[in-house]
Amino acid sequence: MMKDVTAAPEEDVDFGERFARLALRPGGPSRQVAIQRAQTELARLKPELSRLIATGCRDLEAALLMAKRDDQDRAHHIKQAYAISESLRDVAGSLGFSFVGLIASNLCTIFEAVSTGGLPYPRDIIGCHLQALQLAQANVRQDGIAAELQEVAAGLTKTMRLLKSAAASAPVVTDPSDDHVR
Amino acid sequence: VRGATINLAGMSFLVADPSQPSSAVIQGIFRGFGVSRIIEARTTKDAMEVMIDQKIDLLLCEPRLPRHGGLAFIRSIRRNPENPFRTIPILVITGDTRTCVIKEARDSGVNMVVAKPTSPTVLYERLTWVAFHPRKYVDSSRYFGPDRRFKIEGLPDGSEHRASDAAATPVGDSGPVLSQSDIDNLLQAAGSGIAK
Repeated sequence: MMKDVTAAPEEDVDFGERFARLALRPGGPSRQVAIQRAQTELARLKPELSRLIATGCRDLEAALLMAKRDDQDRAHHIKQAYAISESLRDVAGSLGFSFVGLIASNLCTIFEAVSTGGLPYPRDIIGCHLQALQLAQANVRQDGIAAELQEVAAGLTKTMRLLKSAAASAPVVTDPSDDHVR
Repeated sequence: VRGATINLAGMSFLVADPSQPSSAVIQGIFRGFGVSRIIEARTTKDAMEVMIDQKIDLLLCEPRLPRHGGLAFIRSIRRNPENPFRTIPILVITGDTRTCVIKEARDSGVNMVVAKPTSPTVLYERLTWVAFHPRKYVDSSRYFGPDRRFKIEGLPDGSEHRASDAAATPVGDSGPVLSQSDIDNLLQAAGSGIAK
């Protein structure tokens, strides 16, 4: 009778050793084939996840607009924008939506710096990213960064470089591990 | 080990990530690699329940896992001598790559930290690394996990080189990092600082 591989673990199994032992068995697909198959799997998921990315972009745009307009409840809208940016950053890059990934990643960096007190809320820079996001939504189904957006992407990258150096020279008033925004 | 292959057939991986799209991406990649069984969890409670009655060969965990956090969950696995999964390989996957997060992940006993967004190439390399370079487990009063001290022994096999990779010189391939005069200057500076 075959052993049930999904059963609860036996007491004496060393799982660290077990992983290495199983992984080094001969007979697995080559590295190239395994990576190609994984890319095929991602391509299969792309239509569904593209829709989620498009929805995420719209939600992020709405949250940023609210953060711009609603002075009283800005912290709440920033928190929301931060969460959506994190979600977009985590997925967009893996699926080849580099422009959306760049915007989301920049926004995460900004919100992190703002939350740790290393930076005052950079209204103008957030505004640039909001405009870029509106451009991205028109190109969300394209792979990589569309030719007409290359210049915008370079501008955003340069802006972030300047922002990071400004943040590095500014005194940090709170503990960097203390995250107020999330 | 360059271009080495790993065989993940017959293995079960637990993907503990609160984000459904992110989890879908990781699961897709693992399916492509030939992992036989992928179980997903959205919370520490779900993940704990899976580990009580199922056999898992690798845990991939997100630090933002509700309610107690992925790193607290990892610490609870590593620091419990009764837990049969105490030595399971654990990868942390996170988009938050601040030094404080990476250090906390390392000190919770993870084998490897993977930055989001990830790609099939990066994940394959990390799994290959874990399989080919198993580290001894350290058991102390404040830490249980793979030995955190390991030297850079060149780039991971099969990795694509970047311009910045030149900085990752293998240990032992170059001379001392500081010359004697550098050391003398440092000692002198330290001495004058103390004198003040």
